[in-house]
Amino acid sequence: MKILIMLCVLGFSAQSFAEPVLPSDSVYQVGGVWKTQDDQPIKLESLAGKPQLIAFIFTGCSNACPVIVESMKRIERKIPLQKRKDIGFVLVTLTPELDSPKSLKAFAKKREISPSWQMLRGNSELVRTLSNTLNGRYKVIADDDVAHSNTVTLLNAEGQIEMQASGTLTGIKPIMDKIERKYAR
Amino acid sequence: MKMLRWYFVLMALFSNSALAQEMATITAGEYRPLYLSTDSPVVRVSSFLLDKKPVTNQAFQKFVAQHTKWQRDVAPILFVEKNYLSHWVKASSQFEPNATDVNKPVVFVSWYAAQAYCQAQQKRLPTVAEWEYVAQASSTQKNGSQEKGYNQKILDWYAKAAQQTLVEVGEEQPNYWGVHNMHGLIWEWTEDFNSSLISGESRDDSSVNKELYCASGSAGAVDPSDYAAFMRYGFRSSLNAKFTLGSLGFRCAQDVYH
Repeated sequence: MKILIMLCVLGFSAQSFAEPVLPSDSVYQVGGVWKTQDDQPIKLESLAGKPQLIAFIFTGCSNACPVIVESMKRIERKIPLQKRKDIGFVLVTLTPELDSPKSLKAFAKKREISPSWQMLRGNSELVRTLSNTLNGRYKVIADDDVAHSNTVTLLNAEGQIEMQASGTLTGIKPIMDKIERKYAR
Repeated sequence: MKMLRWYFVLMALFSNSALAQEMATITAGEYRPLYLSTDSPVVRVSSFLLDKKPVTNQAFQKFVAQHTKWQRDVAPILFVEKNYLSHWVKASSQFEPNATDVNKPVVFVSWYAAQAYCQAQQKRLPTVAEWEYVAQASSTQKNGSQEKGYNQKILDWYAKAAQQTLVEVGEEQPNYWGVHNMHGLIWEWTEDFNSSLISGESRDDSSVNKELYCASGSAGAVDPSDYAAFMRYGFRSSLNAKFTLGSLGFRCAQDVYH
């Protein structure tokens, strides 16, 4: 019994220790338990601690998403190899019911996405909430097509929006320039 | 131990039922969104439940008391504008509505707050399609939009300046479904409020968007005379999820097989 209490106390303090206080305007306030492409649960808050580049996609997407992904990959290539772990790349699926971990992985393979990128699935409420905090808009159309805005967002280490840009190859330039400047030194 | 658990379940049920909303059963049907052209497929709305009345200040106060994250001076600025619940007054320790406002619809609430409220009741916000489907009923018909005077009545309300003081919920005659106040009291949040017209930023990249846009002109719309619905679509797409407006409230929906 004593051990149990000890464990509880330890567990509690460890938990309160591990959870940093997020700024009131941090996107990570959305919270919720998400799943990765490896079907592992992940807390949104765990993305805090380093800048993250985040965008919405769905694996059945043939127009906008490949361009968004390509834009993000171009940014990644601007970062020196040894620095790449200092910034995260996150893709959130807009069709979590359809995008199984398997199809997310297939998408990643097809688009030659680094395994270090995180692909997140949430329930539809969480996805809509996160999308709204990032000023995104989307509509699931019949036959599983989704009309969605193609915004790519750069979040700072605390999850506040640092910069947003269109995910087209030309539109992404402001974010690319910012990141290039940051790692140029 | 098991008994104790049941006791808590029952307690929870009773304490909620005091302010639990009566819901109307809306049977499945079809609905043709205005921005689609006449030859476009109609949207099928499955059966669902909808709160008969907008959520009141009193009900929202109870929610805030249980979910302190949503108190007026606590809610993260990610989720609410500065004037969130600004019509509430400081009581002993917390903000609460004026006694005269308890049965009036809660306003100055953001989409996030509305969504959190509905989730706390194991409900959700209605979709635009669900809301519009119910809103097109008159007092006697599922689709009252062709009824004489139906549109005029709604437009008369839209033509009025925003009311300084709202009236209590449920005072208007219910519509065909037994649902009150779909028109004439407040605007209401919907789950996908910002998806009816996708913003310009994505027009270049998505074929679907282009079609939406081409069809969004009134000439190709199903019923160009239904100006009121166009206004609702326009209003909704101008909103940001954290907006808190004095004329904007909400009600909750629920799946039938909950």
